[in-house]
Amino acid sequence: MSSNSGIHLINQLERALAGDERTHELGIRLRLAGDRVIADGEVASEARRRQVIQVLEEQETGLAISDQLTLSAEPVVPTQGTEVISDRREP
Amino acid sequence: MSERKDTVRIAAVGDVHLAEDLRGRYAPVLRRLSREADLLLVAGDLTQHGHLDEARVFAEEFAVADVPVIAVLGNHDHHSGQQDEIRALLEEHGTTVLEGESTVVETPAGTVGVAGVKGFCLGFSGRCAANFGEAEMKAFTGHGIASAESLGKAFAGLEADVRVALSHFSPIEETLNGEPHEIWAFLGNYLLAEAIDEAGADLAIHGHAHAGQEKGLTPDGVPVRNVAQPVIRAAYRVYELPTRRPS
Repeated sequence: MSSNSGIHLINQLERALAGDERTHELGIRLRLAGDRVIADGEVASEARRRQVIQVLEEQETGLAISDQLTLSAEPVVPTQGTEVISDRREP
Repeated sequence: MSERKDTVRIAAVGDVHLAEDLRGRYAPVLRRLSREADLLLVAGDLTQHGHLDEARVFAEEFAVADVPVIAVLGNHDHHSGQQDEIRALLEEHGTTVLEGESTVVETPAGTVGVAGVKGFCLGFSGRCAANFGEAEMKAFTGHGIASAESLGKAFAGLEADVRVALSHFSPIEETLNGEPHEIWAFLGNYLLAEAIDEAGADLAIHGHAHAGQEKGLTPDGVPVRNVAQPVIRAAYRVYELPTRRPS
């Protein structure tokens, strides 16, 4: 595969992830590594991880999809405490 | 937690992107939020695809918060063209939704006025879309310009001890650090910062930039906080601001 066709392929996959009703994921980074497509970035749940991989596989690129996605941090009570903003301008 | 009554405590989060698969993540931590904050601001992208059933998950999760919840919608919430229905659903569940509007919340330390708008793309000085050329281009830039004007109008006549701007798109570049420079024009709009500075706001809250950084300043020095959930990596952040009372 030439480097140009590789770029077109990645563009096609990015469009699929952004446009597919099941994903609409805009923040997944894709790159070619040998005969694999590496998908990395953050998704909010295991279900969304599976959907991303499924949409990529349905594109039938003939390349293996390497899942390097990570799950977002749980929305917990913040541990770093309150920030006091006291340097406001005077009107 | 502060016991002082001369500061307001503003909790904020954005980009929660809720849907059925995330039900149950927020309600447990919002149930007793009043111990830490006087109100909760939500900076858009409440849903993943802008579906009503996703908005219902948000509405029910955030309805348990024991403080007023004030939100703007984000681009994801507009995707399915159901933004008006989403707004109505949220308001039925007690969330105040702002779009070119403002609201005032009473707290033990004084009043907090929030002016809210989704905002839109445009870019920043020297690297922004110009209101010129094809009708499609002018429609794009025109929406960005109109959104900032809408924020300015929301501030007009808003009187409160603390005044806060709430948007989805960023008013400044600084909180976009971490995002690819090439997409900054799609993440923010310098005219929002002009409206914030013109209004003399005390704080600006936004989301949208998942890979950005939390803290920045407008050109005139108004503190800006990017509270996109992937940035703050918590259910919310709390900002404490002293109230200005006439002496």
